[in-house]
Amino acid sequence: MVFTRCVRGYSWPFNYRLLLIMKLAIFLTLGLAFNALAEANAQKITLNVKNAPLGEVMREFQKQQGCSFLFHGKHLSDIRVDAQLRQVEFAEAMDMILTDRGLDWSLDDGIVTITKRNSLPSNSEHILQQRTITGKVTDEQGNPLEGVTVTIKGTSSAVTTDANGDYRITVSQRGGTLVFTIVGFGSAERMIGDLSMLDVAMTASVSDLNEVVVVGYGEVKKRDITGSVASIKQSDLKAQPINSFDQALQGRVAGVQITQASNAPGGGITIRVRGGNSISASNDPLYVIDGFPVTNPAPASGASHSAIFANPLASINPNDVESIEVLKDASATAIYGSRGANGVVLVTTKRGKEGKAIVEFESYYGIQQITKTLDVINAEQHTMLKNEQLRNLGYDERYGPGLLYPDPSEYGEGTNWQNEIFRTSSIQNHQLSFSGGNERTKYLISGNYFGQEGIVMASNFDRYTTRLNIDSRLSDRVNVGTSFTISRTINNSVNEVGGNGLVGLALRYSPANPIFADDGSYQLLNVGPGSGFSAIANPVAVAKTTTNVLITDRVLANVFADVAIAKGLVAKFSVGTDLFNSKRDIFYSPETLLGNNVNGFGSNGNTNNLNLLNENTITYKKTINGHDFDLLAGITFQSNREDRTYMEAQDFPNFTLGANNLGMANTPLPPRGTVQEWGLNSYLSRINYRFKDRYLFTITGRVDGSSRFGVRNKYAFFPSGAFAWRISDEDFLRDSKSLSDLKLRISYGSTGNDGIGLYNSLSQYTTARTVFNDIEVLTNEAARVANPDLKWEKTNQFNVGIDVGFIKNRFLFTIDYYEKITSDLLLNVQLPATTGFTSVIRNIGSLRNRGVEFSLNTVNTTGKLKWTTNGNISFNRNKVLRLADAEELIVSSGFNTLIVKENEPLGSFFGNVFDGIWQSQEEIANAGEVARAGDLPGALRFRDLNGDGVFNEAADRTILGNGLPDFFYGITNHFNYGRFDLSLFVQGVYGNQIYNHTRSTLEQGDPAHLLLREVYERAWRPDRPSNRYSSMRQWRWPNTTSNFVEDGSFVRLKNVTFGYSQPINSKFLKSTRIYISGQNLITISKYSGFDPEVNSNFDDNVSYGVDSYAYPLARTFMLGATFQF
Amino acid sequence: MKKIIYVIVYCITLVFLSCESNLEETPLGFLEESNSFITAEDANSAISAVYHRLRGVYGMNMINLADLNGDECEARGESALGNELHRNLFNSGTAIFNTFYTASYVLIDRANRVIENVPKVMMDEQERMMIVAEARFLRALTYFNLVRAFGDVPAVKQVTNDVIDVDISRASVDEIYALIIEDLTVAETDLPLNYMEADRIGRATSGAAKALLAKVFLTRGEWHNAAGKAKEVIDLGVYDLFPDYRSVFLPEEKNGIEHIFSVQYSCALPQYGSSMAVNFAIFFSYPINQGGGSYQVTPRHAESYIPGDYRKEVTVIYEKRRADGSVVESRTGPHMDKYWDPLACGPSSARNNFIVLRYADVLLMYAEALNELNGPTVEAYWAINKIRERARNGNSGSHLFDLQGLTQAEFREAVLQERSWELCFEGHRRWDLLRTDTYITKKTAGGVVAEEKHLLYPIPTIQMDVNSALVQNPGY
Repeated sequence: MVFTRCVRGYSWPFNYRLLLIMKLAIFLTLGLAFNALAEANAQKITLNVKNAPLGEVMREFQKQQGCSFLFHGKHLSDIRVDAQLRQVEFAEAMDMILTDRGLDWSLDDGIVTITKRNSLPSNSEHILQQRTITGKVTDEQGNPLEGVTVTIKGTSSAVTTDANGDYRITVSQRGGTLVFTIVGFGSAERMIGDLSMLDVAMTASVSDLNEVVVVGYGEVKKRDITGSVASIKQSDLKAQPINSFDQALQGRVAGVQITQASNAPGGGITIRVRGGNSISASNDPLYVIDGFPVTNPAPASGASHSAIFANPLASINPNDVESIEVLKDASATAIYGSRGANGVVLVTTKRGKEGKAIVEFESYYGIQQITKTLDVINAEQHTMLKNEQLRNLGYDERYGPGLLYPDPSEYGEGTNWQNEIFRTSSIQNHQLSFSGGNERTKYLISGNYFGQEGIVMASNFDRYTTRLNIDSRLSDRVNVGTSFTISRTINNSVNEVGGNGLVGLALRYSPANPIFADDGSYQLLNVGPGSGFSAIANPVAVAKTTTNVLITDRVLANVFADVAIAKGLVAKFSVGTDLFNSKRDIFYSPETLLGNNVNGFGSNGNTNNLNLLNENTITYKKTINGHDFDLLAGITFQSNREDRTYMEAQDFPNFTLGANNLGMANTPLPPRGTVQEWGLNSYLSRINYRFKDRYLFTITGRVDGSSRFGVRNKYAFFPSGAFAWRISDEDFLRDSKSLSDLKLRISYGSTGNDGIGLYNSLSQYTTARTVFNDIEVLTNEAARVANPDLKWEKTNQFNVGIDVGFIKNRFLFTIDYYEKITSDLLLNVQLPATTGFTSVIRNIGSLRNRGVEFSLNTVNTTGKLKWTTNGNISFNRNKVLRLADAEELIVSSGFNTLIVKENEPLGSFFGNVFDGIWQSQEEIANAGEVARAGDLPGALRFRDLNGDGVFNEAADRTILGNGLPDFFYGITNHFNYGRFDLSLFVQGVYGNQIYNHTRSTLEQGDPAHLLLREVYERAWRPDRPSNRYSSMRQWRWPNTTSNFVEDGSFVRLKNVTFGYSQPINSKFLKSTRIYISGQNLITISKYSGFDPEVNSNFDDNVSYGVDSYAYPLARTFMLGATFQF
Repeated sequence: MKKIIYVIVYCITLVFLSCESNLEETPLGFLEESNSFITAEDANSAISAVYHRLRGVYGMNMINLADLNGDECEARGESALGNELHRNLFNSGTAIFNTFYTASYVLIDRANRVIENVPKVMMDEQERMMIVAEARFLRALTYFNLVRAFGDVPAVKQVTNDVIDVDISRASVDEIYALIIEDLTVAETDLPLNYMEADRIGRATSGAAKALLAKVFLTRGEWHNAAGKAKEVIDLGVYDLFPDYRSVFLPEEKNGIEHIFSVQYSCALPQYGSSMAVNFAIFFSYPINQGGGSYQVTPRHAESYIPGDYRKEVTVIYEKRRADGSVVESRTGPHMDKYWDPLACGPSSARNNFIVLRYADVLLMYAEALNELNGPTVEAYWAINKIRERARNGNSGSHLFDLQGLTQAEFREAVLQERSWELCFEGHRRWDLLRTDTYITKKTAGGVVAEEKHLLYPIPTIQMDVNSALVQNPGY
């Protein structure tokens, strides 16, 4: 007898009571009445009959399913059966009715077949209606595999293996087929038959093409991807001292350049996916965390001298991350429309799996140290140089017997301020997680603490996070779930950049200062009145007496429901919120020069950012004769409101309470506040069409309406199309022994960049205060001119890529070529002052990024020693094609001058060429006006580039270098031998320049600041000429000069991890893994500063690779362990 | 079932209705031009902002442009800017020119916005006219500074809202002066003689407009008009000299009887303070200051005073007694003490106003104009000797006698010298030398190379870069 389910059949084995489910769907749509689901146990059977014909009983079953069955095999339908069922599962009910009558049933792809049992069971175990299969899953070498999903084919019953590779699954009497899947291995299928034990050795595959990859608003099998998508697994994130997940992408993904802009704990990074598209809008990719496109709100404001570059993504716990996908080409990113142009980073967090509860404790502890210090002069040398300068200037010396200050020799070594502020510091991470679930509900709960002390004193970062991810199958048609995380980060920071940053102070303050003055208070002045040293603050005093703390609380929560409406048709609804609140307290006590002039100052800054998201999508899958369709349509709404307040006060009669009680101050400044909102309404659609599984097409479109755009340009449409051809599936290649995969991908599409700030299309007036006759009055004046035409920047991207796999995909190579043209570039165009404004933001100009990315994943050896290699290298060329008003824009970064010029890459350093030192009066006289007015022997000499016989700072400038690399790369080698594993990660960039602004004080011929030892030794003196360092005077340095441009290439042994895993079969503990790891172990570079990985202008797109007293890099050694209970 | 469908339709409609508003951008945290000019308070906030912009033009910027580049003031020590400006080593890239140029035009734009928008505000008619007149006064003052610094400059009389076509060429000096004179003529009529409200004292008055007009006419060589306007100021009866020369500069005496117009600074908060006091002070005469103090008196100027001139005592010092009684000696020659503020509120923040126009200046302008018109008349002697009388400070042994019996040329020279003693370091010297055509000779006498090209400052490089209609001054 064969029942064939006829109605609108579903891919599920059991489908019942369509109408009820429809109602459920509606309830869910409204986000109401989840308790209504109590009545949803539709698949349960209730029946009480005696001696009824099987056919009748089956019909009653059908009725209770709300579905009619076709009826075959009439000869069996007359068998009389008894049934006393009350809310029994279908499968159980079938077993109960049939087993006694010597009948078997099976279910395969929605077809229930009832047959006569051929042989009676030989042992009693078979009489049981259900039985248990156990087994062990190992790799080819026999090592147990943990986390293998074991599914009964055709059902949703699944379990996962434990740390010993063991699993235990209950199957129906009939058995069936077990499917074993795990990332990194080919899936395996085994018939159960009569077996009660089933061990499986799985074959490693470098890349399982059936592996599912997360893409925008959905998932797709790797084999079906038409775009350029890179995927990082959780294993790549492990054993690295990272405080935010984006750091883990460094060197791992072709085309993604990551620069740790600030090495301060919790500090910001600069990330560029396939080069920077934008000059003045954001260049950051869109981060989508569990489907929620998050924004990265600016942290709360702080008083002056408190610049920090906090990374808002540091509020997400990287240990919770399961995988990260980077969408790079337009085919992949166009579904994110006006936010897709800079690439999209999809973060998927871990979720519970069916099976026994897993308790896992992970922990690491490490120490960090600075990799390098700069060789600077000591106190004696500094005071001697000051005397030398005063002599050169024709003034009296100030250091010597009977003079203002003691003789240089009395100062001796003095204080080494670098040693005073740098320290060995700790880093630690502890995480406890619980996960598990049954076939209906799965959960993951985790709690994490991460703590990092900075290598600069007084800086540290703590994060506390909890996560709760739940998935629940309410019925066969309805799944609901949530991703929920709460975090608090406490970023105790120091002013990170510039001369008044803590590192800047340590590199400028004279070693002739003690930490403490004679009276025990902190040394306040730079040596003292008339010392001739710049008025800067004592770095240790600043570190010890200053408060600079940023506290961020973030709740990122998303609830979703997906409802199967009909076969292949699924509606998904989600509502999410991202609540991001931060508070910043700054306090500078009068014990430092920075706070002394106003007798202490402090501030409280608050931000409250609420981001709301509603997404409604429908997907439909259909297969007709080798034509596969996958359709997606959706409407989403997102809105954001940010409230900011700021208070500052000065003159604290008592500074013990710091910034906790600003009301104590005698001089409160007027408070400030602002509110900003933005909204985004989007309509999106995607069609995936596959013909014969070999010809793959993707068409994507999104319409974004954005509040940020000017009134004349509210809506934008972003389409893309892609084609992929699985050549290896063609007949002529299918049988190839060596070539296991060959796919060609081509895509073209358009995406936008809406990171253009808020309200920028509107004119703005700002209020402030001024004073008349000592009385404050309000002022209000124009601050920005309107631009109703303001719109997104548009990037059109062409991508062609080839994926090749050899020998069952043991060797996989991917190469992509892309060309991106960004037009309607937003530029803060400098305006003539006659307009009343200095600049305006306008959509002008275009630029191009094009490049080649190459990545490989190989399994080099598979025997006892397993060795895999993952590597990538990326070449990107950036060129400005057009600027509207002028051929070039000269931009000041605050540290140097840059030029944006047609046919040149973004962010070229622009300045004068240092040409050595004038050696003699005669030489100066002969040079005419190439020598600057007032030049003497020992003065700086600059090249007259335009050859007009005059050196002119403005006219004689040229491009001196660029912060963008020729290429960057990363390579990871992973070795496994028995229980030992070793991974080596090397990463680097090549061909970029750094503007070492730090040297502008350390190298100038003016001992007002601290100088390098080399300057002391080699400065120009009449008897000891130098062509490198000027005489001790104070020669005027132009803003940007060639001698501070350095080669920024480096190659770094970024991470080495050596681990040992031990399965333990005790009741209490299942397995452990212990590892040691080193980060930033070796760096090979010609760079003279602390570290070549530097970007003091953080997210400035034009100024890339400037080092202005940047917070230096740490070398980290750590010990970690994972225990599974 | 139907009900549920209705509910869905209802909800979706709600979402869609609200979705358009999701895209509207209404500023919640700032004002726009459309809602910035509604009440009388708004009009006052707008004009206050224009006054505030003066701080970007005056303060040390004006000292740098007018005094440091003159022959009375020099920068010692370690200041590159000082050297460039004093020794005529500047070029178009020297930052201060762009700072000054930009600050001036931003001020002009903000004034233009007041002139355009305030007439639409519902408020007292007289106050409205007054505020517009203030804006015109400030605009005129700013153009006067620009035209003296750069010669031909772009003339911007309207609000700029369309910033697409921004290349504006330089209007002739004559056009700029016509604009200045027109503005000031309106201002002298519509502005009040003085202000009663405490928080308005310091705003432009009719007297200020007249005094400025006098200076404009004087600069233009319109002696008759200059003398006339100066006389009008004198005859207003509002202004007089402080009996004590020192009072002119005491922060406590700001906005006093001699002050016709000053840029307002204050220590109500440190950010409202001015930095002249610190910049001119002897190194370390302020308790915590280590920097500054590099602006000094040239020895020539210090030695130019006639014995018994009280003004030297007020102006030139070689040592300073600090608040705690200790004495700081200057190691680098004469310093300037006019701006000394014992209650300075920060390392570059003190209470001194920047005096733009004061009665003594008007008297000297009057004398100068009369002399040019008719030679040294009785009135001319009266005016200059009134200054000298105060300068003797009651010292009968002073050698600073009343002037008499001079030729026109001698009198001309005497007025210039008198201005140097009386008004030095107050932002006048370069303009005085240019007006009297003595810049090159005086600078050369001070040992600095000065040529024809130095009579105008260069148009800043940055402005040349962004405004292709600009043409650089000759020689730069």
